[in-house]
Amino acid sequence: MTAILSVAHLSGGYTRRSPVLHDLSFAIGPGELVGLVGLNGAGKSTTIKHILGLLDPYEGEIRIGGKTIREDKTGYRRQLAYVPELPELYEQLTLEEHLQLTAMAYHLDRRTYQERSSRLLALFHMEKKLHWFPIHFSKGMRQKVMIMCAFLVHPDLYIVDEPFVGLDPIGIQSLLDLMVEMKKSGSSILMSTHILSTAEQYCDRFIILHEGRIAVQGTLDQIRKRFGDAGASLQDIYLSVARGETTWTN
Amino acid sequence: MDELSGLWKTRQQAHFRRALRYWNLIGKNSGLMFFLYAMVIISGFYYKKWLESLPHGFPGLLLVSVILALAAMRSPIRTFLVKADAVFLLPAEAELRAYFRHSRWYSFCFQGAILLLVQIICWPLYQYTSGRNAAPFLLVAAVLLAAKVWNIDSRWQEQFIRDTLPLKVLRSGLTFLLIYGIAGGLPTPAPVICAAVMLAVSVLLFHRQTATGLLDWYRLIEMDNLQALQFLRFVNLFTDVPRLRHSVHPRRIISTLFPVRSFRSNRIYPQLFLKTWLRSDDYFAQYLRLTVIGMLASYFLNNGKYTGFVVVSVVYLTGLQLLPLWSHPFPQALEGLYPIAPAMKRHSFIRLVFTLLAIQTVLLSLAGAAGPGRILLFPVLLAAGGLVSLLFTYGYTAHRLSAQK
Repeated sequence: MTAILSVAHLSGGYTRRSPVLHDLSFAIGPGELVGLVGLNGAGKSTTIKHILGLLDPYEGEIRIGGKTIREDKTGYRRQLAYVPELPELYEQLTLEEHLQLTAMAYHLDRRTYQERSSRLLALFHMEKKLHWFPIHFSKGMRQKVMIMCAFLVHPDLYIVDEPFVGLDPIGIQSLLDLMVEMKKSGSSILMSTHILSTAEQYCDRFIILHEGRIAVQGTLDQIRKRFGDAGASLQDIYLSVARGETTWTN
Repeated sequence: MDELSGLWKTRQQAHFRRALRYWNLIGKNSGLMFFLYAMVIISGFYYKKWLESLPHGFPGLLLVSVILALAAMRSPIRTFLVKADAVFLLPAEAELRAYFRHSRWYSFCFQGAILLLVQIICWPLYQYTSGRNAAPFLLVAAVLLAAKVWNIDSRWQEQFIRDTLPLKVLRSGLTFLLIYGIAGGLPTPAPVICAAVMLAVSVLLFHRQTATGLLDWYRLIEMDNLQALQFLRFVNLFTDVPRLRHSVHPRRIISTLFPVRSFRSNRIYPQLFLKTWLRSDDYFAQYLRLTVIGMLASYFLNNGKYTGFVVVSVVYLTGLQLLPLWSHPFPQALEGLYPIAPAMKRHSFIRLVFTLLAIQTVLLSLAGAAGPGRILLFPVLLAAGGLVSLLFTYGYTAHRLSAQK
């Protein structure tokens, strides 16, 4: 299996003197949904920023589809779509223009754009808000715009950072359905979240980060086995890691 | 509450420090300072010429009264409030009386000085048109300041009232009547009655409604933001200002002229910059303003050489106004990740600025040639403006942007 995303011995952060991430290595194959779990400040968002190419690693390398960002910046970026934790929109553009610009940036033709966008708009109940400006959107609607922009592209890799906060129940379900659908069509998804029950239900594998290191990674069964309790929930395991009871981890 | 009583001082000092730094930067930009001095001297010269050429029945008194009344009734109150205050200071509203009193006093001093400056500028016209009947300068100044006090007090009361439009109309009408009554030399009872009505309105209408109203914090903060933005706009003529706050105007009708026609990826930045220019902040309005002023100046100046100077300087100033569009923040999660080469962004920006300057040049040259009715002037002005547009965009801007990366 060739990995879509491979992270090898990544160390990085915001200042060289105090790196946030220490020697992270993991890979995500096609059709996999991997959950990135950890406390506030564990390094989830920093990991994501490195993968997006917004931060430069001090050591190690990140490849998407076999390419590093240094080798081919546009080619690297074309393969991924990102839903940030805090929605950032163009305040001066309408919802429709957001979608159109995304389509232009990722080389969609008009027909594909129309098919995909009308489906997404219906899914998130935003058809009537095509000509609205972000100032009139609630936090949840803003999040929906980000999600629609990302899922319009159909890239190989989705990076989804804490997507459920502020979404209404239908929005959450639509997003989960979309992720399952993209997975089936072969895309990979890296999702960071605190909603462990949902993660447990949907993710194929987990990466539990603790203080900038990978405490443990694998399928839920693999992790349970190491934890030594076949009935433990992700929540139990996660809390144990967070409390520093990490003798059983790597 | 000691902290609250010191708050005004802290805020005002912080504002002064910031403003001073900006003035310092402005002072250092000697080219533009020279341009401004030159404009002042030239317009002084033309003012005098214009006065001498005025026809006999020119309504100078009315014009001066309108200008002074406008300056007197425009009374935004500088509060130095910020958005977070609506959360943190709201519970302490009752203890902020002194703070807001300071803020009204500050607004009065500042606007009073500007009002007197306007009066000084208007005075030659006033004296020229009213001749022997002119009211003494000091009397008019005193009335103007009194009107300012009344307007600021009323404006403050309006902050507690929901529907202010009728009050604003009333306020403007009374202010104008008072000023026209004094400056226009109406018989003494007229302005006196007007002043009495103003007092009555104050007591019976404004203050009475206020007693039951709630202070509208968001409107207050918005008012302060607008004033801060105006200053930054002005500073922005000279130097880059990190923006205070972004306002968006939908401009739906004009926007329909520029739909997304092609989905080619090289059309993305032209769309993005164009829509940002049209709708964000004040770019579009600023461009229109400069173009209209430039056209009027070119039309009325009626002199070949000077018109060339006007065209060139307006195009240059407009270009400077357009530059901040480049650093207009776009969302990192979208624009920051687009798989598009940065050079494409640069080219699109430069082309848009050039197009806008070229359109402006054509309009200015048309106005400049139409003024004296000399068709031959048109290509000359066009060439001058076109050359400046080219140098500014493909020379200066291109150089600056590629040095940046």
